[in-house]
Amino acid sequence: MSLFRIFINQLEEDDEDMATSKKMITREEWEKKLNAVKLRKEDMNTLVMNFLVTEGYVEAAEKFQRESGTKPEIDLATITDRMAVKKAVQNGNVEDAIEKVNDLNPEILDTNPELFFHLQQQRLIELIRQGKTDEALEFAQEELAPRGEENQAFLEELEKTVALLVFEDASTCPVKELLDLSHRLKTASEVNAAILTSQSHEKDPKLPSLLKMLIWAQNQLDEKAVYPHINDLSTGQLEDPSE
Amino acid sequence: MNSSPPPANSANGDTTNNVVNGQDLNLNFLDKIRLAATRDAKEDEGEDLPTELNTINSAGGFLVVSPDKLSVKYTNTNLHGHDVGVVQANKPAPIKCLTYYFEIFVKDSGIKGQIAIGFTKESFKMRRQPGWEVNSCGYHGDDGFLYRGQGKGEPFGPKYTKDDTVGGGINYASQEFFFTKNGAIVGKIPKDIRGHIFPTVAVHSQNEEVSVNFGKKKFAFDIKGYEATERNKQQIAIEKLSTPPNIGYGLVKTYLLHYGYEETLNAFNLATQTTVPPIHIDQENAIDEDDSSYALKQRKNFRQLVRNGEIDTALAELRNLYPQIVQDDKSVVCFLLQCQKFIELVRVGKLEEGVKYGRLELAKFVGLTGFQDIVEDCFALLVYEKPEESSVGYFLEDSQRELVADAVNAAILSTNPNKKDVQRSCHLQSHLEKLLRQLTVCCLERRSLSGDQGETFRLHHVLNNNR
Repeated sequence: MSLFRIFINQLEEDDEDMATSKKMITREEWEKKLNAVKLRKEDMNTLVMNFLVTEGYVEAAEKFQRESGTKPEIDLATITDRMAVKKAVQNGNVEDAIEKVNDLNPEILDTNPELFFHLQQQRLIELIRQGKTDEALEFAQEELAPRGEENQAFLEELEKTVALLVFEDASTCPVKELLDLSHRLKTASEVNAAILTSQSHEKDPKLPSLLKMLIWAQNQLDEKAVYPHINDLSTGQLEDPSE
Repeated sequence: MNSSPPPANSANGDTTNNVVNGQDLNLNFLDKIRLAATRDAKEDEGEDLPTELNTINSAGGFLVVSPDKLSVKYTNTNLHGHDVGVVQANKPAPIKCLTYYFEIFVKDSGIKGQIAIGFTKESFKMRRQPGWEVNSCGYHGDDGFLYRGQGKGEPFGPKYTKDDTVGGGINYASQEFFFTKNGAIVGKIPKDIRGHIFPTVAVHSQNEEVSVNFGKKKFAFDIKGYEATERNKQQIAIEKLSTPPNIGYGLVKTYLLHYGYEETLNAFNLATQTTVPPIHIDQENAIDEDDSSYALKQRKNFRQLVRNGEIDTALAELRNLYPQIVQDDKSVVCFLLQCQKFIELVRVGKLEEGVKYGRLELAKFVGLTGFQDIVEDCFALLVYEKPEESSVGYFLEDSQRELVADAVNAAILSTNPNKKDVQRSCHLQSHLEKLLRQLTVCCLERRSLSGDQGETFRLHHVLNNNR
C-alpha cells in the first residue's frame, strides 16, 4: 500500500471516528430542551420594538408601545426626525436633508467628513440628473473640489461623478450606477446610521444578527452533535435530524 | 411532517390526548408567572466565584494570610525549591462565562521578588511555584518567564516587582490563559489544563507581600473591554453569514399576527408597503395568513380588555364567544383571569372586595397542585401596605397583564379548527419564539459538549448589550 493510500485510509478512519463520536439527540429530547428554555415575553417584545425603532417605523412603534406596554429605547420623536432626513435623501432633496441633519445635531456632519462629502456628492448627482449642467459644475468647483484637495479618495469620487457630465446619454456612461436609485438609498442609509450613532443607538437592529447567530450556532453544534435543525428561518419549522 | 396521530402505545401516547394537552399547554403560562417572580434575581449560572484566599489548603509555615484573607506575606527564610508559599483562591475559577480574571498587587517584593501568579489544580503541591509542576501555569515576577508544567520557563513578558499590578485570566472562547501587567496584556498561552482550576498566588522570599483582588475592587485591566473585543471577534464571523433578504420583516409580521397586536400590524404593513423601495415580504405562503390571522380581531379585543384591567368583561365575552375555553372553571385560563381580577381589585385598593372575590373564585384552586403556590403569592398582596414594592409586586406590573392576555390569546388560537396539531406546544409559539428557543438550546448544548466552558446565549443579556 502506498503511503498516500495509508494516509487516505487514516483520514477515512478519522472521519468515521468523528461521525461516531457525535452525540445523537432525538426530536423528543430536543423538544423537551426547547420547551425548557426560559424565554421572557418582555424580551421578545423588546427585540421587536428594537426592530421597529431602528428601522424607523414610528407609527408601528407607537402602536406597539400601546398594545404591548413595551417601552421604546429612544424617544420616538427622534425617529420622525431621522426618517424625515432619510426620506429627503431618498427623494433627491439633499439640501433639505443636510439642513434637517444640522437642525437635529450639527455635530453629526462636523464630525463625519466622509458622510458630508457623500451628501454633497449626492447633491451634485441630483443636479446632473436634472440636467442643470452649469449649476452642477459651479457646485462641484466651489463646494466639492476644495474637499477633494484635502482627501485623495474624495477627489477620485468627485472625478467619477463629474464624468457623468461628459456623456450626453448617461446610460452609456461607465459610472451610470451613480444615477441609480440604489445610490440614493445607499446615501440615505449612511446618513440614517450616522444619526443613530449620534443618538448612541446601534445602527442595525438586533433581530437580523440573531438570525445569523442561529445559523452560526447550528453550524457550531453540527461539529459535536446530530439534532433537529431549523433550516427555514421564515417558519421556524423543526426538521428531523438527517441520518 | 408526519401529521398522523402517534400510536396509542407510544411513549408519550397517553399524554397526547387533545383535551388533556390543551390544558398542558396552558400550564406553561403558570411557569411564566413563576419566571416573572424571579425576574429581579440576578441571572447568573449559579457558580460560586472565588472571593478570598483559602487558608486551609495553603503552604502553612512559610506564609501568613491576612485576616481579611486578601493578602499574603512570606515570613520565613527560603532555603530551596520546596518551601514556596503558595495559596489558592477559596473557589475554582468559574467556567460558564466568557472569561475569568483576577489581579494581584505587589506590596513588597521582599529580598528576591520571587512572586508568581497563575492557575493550579486543587491537588497542587502547595510548596512549589505554580508552573513548576504539571497541570499548572504561572507568570513569575523575578524573571518575567512563563512556566507551564516544567521546571524550565519560557521568555514571556516583563519582570514585575513592588507596586506592580499583575493579572491572570482565562479566555474560554479561545481556550487561552492570558496575563496582564499594570492594565496591559503581557501575553497569552494555550489553556491545556482540563477541569476546575484555582487562581493561585505564590511568594518565595522573606517579606514578599502580595494582595489579591478577586473583583471586589476595580481591576487595573479593562476586562469588560477585553470581553467586548472577544465577543466582537465572534460577531464578525457571524455577520459574514447570510440570511434571506428582509427575513426580519416577515418574522416581525408573524409575531404581531400571532399575539394579536393588530394595530401595530396595520401600521407596520402600511409602512413597509409605502417605504422606498417597498419591502417585499416574500414569505407570504410561509406566513400562512389564514392560520396566524385566525380570530385576529377577537384576539386583539381580548388583549385590550385584559390590558385595561376589564377582566369581568373579558370573562363574559369569552363565555359568549368561546365557551369551550371557560367551561371548565378550574382551567388555567379561568385561573389566570380570576387571579388577574383579584390583582386588579388590589391595584385600586378594593381590598375587602378582593378578599370576597378571592374566597368565591380563587379558594377552589387552593390545594390544586400547580396552582397553590401562585394563589398563595396572589393573596400575599393583601399583606403589604405598598404591595407594588413587595416581593410579589410583579403581579401589579404591566407584564403580568401581558402574560394573562397571552394566555387568552393562546387559548383562542387553540380553538382554530384548521389546526391539526394543537397538542404540539410549538404550534402555539410565534415563529420568532421558535427561532430564539432553537438558538438558545444550540448554544447551551454546544457548551455542555465543551465541558460546560464558556458563555451561552441569553436574549436578555444580548438586549442589554451584555451589561
